[in-house]
Amino acid sequence: MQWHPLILSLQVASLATVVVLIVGLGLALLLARRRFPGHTVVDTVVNLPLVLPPSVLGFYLLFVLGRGSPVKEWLGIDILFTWMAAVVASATVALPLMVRTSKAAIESVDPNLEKAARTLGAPEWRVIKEVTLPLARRGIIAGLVLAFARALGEFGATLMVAGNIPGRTQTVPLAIYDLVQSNRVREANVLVLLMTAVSFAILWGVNRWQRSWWR
Amino acid sequence: MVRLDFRKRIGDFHLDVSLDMGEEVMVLFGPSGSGKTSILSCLAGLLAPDEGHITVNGDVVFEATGGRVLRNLPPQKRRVGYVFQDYALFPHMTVAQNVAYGLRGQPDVPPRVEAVLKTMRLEDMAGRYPHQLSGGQQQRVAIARALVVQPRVLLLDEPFSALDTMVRDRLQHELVVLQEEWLLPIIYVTHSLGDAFAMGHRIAVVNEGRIEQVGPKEEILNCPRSRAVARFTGTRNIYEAQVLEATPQATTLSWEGRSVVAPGSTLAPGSGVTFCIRPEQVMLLREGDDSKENVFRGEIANEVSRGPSISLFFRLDGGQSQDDYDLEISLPIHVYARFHLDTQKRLAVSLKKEAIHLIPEASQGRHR
Repeated sequence: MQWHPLILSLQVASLATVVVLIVGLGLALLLARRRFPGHTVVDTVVNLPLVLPPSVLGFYLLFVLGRGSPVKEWLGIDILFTWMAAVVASATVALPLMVRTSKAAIESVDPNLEKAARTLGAPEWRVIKEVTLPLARRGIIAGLVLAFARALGEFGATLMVAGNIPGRTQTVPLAIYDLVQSNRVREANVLVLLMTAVSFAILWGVNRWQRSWWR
Repeated sequence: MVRLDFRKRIGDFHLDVSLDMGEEVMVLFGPSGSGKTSILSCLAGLLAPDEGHITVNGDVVFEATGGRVLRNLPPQKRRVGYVFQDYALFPHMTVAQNVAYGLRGQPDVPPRVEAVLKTMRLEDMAGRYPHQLSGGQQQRVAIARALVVQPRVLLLDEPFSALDTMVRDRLQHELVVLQEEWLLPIIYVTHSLGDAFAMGHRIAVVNEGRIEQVGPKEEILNCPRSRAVARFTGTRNIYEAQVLEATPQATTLSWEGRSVVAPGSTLAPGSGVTFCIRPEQVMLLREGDDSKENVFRGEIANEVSRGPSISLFFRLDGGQSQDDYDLEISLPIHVYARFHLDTQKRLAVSLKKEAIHLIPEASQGRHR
């Protein structure tokens, strides 16, 4: 039994979720509460990974991370075909799910509550941290769970930018694909069941936690 | 001291406000959509005017000329307390946390919160959440939260519209006491005439983004400067007439073929004029009493009971009005009974000369 793909999958999905939390929450706040030129463009671009085939996305990411890209040539970051590239791919694919759900949650917070906080002297960061985000937390958590689930199942874009190197960049979905291709159905079965159990456990736990948290 | 003098365009709507006030309760009174809340938002820094200036206690918090904003203090720096119509209490915080919200980083937070909760009779509610409170309690928390940061002016947006009459009367009384104790300028927005009169020292009548008239409440009630003000303040009987003769002692009007004697004025004979009389100022006359001015006969076309008073809709003899009635009369119930009006429908009424108010044609238009 090979444990590595499962551990790698959880590691990649967790890290991707952290990235999505930071980037996605920032984008959601920006899109929900600010009007600026190009608002619709940003909103559309953020949502693009939802409709683009993962291979197209992977192709773009190859350009962004690969030879000749600013990331590699100027910053000297070379993560292509490492597990870090899988994190980038998963985060990109999961981002719109986070942005959409948390943006809707933030928009549903009564703007008068934020205005009241401002008239009470609270600086903008306190308004966001103590009023907006706590009241939108259900949507934000829902967005994170969706993002994590999506990252865990990521296949196409990951294959293109991180490859399928057993023991290095092979996540569970890739491993299952390989096993099925080489007709090792029994081993594939184990991974499929494990993946299902882990996904179920996470969703079930979050659901329970959420229900008990708010009243 | 608060001085407002600004203009703001919001879509098709034009806000044009000029108002000075001291340590008093100023009521902004007007129909829904007249711009009252926008005026509060501009003062609190939640909305930026296009032009003009706003001063609080001599401190210029907003200034713009020729489309250039020279100064626009953010709401955080204005120290303007704002009690929202829906209270805007933080639902995820307890009463004490709500009240303490504006005190972050200041000394003596717990005793100050405790003191203001006590003033507002909320000391037993400190640990509750807003959804566990009644409407009146929520209202008091919102006021406590705004007061504890010692604002330079307190804004109340329709504060009592969602409360029942008894709670409202009590809170209004408490607020008046509070204002006298703290000597705090309060701007109170309402579309209810009753609230306006219960609370205000002075009333500013807001209509279509403008302040139509500012003055002591009696003046607003008895001497409206425009038809709009007369209408909003419940002067039901508003008529067009022609000036026949004007002297300092009396003005004689021609009103649909009738002659009406009104208070003295300097109006030009032949000019048009609006005259009005409040329904509670119309006098009923006993049969044979002809000693009064402006006596008209007619009959009661309809009546509506309003609890302690009753409204009569009176049709004058020879009236050309297309409406069902010419005159609305408001009577206390006991007068209604004394005149046996339930059986007797024909009456004589007098429009007392002093009770008639004249609005010259010239002041009908837009004025500043």
